[in-house]
Amino acid sequence: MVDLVETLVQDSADARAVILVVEDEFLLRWPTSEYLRDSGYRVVEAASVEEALVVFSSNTRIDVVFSDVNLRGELNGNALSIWLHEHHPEVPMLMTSGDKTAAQSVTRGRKRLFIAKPYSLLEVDGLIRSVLPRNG
Amino acid sequence: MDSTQTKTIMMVEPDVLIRMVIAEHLRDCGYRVIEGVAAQDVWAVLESGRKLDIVLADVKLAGDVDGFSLARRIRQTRSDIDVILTSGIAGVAQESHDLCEEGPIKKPYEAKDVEARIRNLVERRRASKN
Repeated sequence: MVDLVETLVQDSADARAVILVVEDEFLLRWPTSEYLRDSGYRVVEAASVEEALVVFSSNTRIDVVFSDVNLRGELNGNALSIWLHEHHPEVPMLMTSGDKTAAQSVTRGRKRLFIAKPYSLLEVDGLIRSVLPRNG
Repeated sequence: MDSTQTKTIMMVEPDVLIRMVIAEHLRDCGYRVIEGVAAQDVWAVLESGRKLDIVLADVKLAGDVDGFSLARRIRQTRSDIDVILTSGIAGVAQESHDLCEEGPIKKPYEAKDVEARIRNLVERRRASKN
């Protein structure tokens, strides 16, 4: 039974990279997630940082996080970035915002990329591919 | 509708783990699944002109409108959309199992296994909080 549960949790035969999309605006989360699924990824959708943390606490495999900076709830994308750096330093993160001040607040580095809103989904796909672990 | 066309299910569920597991399960069964957390998300999809075949909603939703009100409004205004109301993990697991039985790709998952998977994830979340 446990084996079956594990199989359902994480199908090892599934080679698709798993993207966690963290966005509180439904009208952005929906088309972004759908586009990424159609591009061949598995996508987990979180409407807040709190939900993203719940996903990580369930041990679901996440390969890349794509998160808005300004989010409803107590935690924003920068807080998630710090948490991720401490708990899952191997997971790269692509951050986005339409707010210039928020954009300036984002830490960038080897595993931290930024794309301004409104973004092109094609460009998001390209950036995700560039940070996927299999691409080094 | 054309039987070769992928049916679209809108799943409205405020619990991220239940939403993640059930939506993925339904995708594995061949459906296109749109994930929402509140009743207004359903209206946003319909206003965009996107066709929905089934709305699978929990009775408890984020926002001011609950699943009962959402279901009533869809049934009154959109008779072309089937509404399935669920409550709790066991209910949504059974409904997704039944949908997969009718879906284009039959996956050999039992409702109780899907339910067990979600309970397992919920337990891990509790354990990680302590």
